[in-house]
Amino acid sequence: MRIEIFREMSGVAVSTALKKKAVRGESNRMSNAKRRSPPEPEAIAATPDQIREAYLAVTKTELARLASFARWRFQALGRRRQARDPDELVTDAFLAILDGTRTWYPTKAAFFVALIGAIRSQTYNMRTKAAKDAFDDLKSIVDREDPEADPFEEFEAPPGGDSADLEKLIKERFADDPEAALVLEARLDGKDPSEIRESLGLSQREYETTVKRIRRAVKRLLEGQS
Amino acid sequence: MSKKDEALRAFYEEMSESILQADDAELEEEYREGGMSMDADADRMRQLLANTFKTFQQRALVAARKKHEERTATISAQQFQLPASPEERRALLDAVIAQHQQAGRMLIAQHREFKELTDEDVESWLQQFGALGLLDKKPGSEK
Repeated sequence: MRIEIFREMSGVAVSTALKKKAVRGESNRMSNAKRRSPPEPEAIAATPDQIREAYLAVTKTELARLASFARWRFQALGRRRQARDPDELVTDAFLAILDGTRTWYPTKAAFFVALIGAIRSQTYNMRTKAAKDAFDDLKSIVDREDPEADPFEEFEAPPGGDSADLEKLIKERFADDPEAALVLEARLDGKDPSEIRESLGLSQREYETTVKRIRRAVKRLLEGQS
Repeated sequence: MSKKDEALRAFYEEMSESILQADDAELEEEYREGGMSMDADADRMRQLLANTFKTFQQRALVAARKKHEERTATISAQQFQLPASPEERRALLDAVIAQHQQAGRMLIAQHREFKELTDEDVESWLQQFGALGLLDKKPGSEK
């Protein structure tokens, strides 16, 4: 700013020294401003009142999204469901936030995001917990000759919990949608999304649109619709 | 977990993440397709959260009530060996309140005249003092 004024006033080129001085001054002003700016608020865990306000403020769409998310996560547990249901995942996640097992920092994330994170963490623990720990109360289920064997393998797979169900879907439902069939097939082969996108030459957007079609078809399959 | 189960798990988790990315109209459409009401499901979720919150709030109350019941049960279960005759029991009560002034004040607060105490009252007070450990204390031990 000062340089511009000087230029206009003098009508001659500003000397390098003056330019440097002006730049230095601007830089100092910026540093001072930075120093004076208030420090970032420290993350403080939510109080029960804040949690109450937050859960009451969750929108209808977020609630529906939460229910759907819990249903898919529950489906992902396969044989490790341990006689639970998707609603229990939501209840336990909310309780974890309430009792502080999982801390929610309102300045860092929205309540909905924290709740989703708690469900993710909970289902991760459920599937990674060693079988012998999961069956603490039912030690007789664990094979004494092979204690590392996964007793969950003996459980009957829930609907959609067997890849054969989805392979059938590939043949029947996606006969006229080769893209969806290929993506699902590759996913069931253990390929990750980036590998699939690369091998099929799909953009991120195309991949997501295909996943959307697959999701709707699988949902219908799980709901017993054709 | 077998490789197939692991792939299936990853696939379903991807579905769960994709529902978070779906736009509102898409979500509504999926509910309609499945013959479900999005409003009803949202209401159900709200009720679930409300019930969980209420249950959590009542936890402290339930725990305190349980603790109180346990203490009461412990006191009731403790039976102190008391003298056989009512006269001897009354004499023991006199001795206890003579040794423990606070116990005496507690008793006076409820019964102005010791003579008004029935034999059952005497026995009940002795049992309560026993639960407080006063029957085992030696004279002069109270501070």
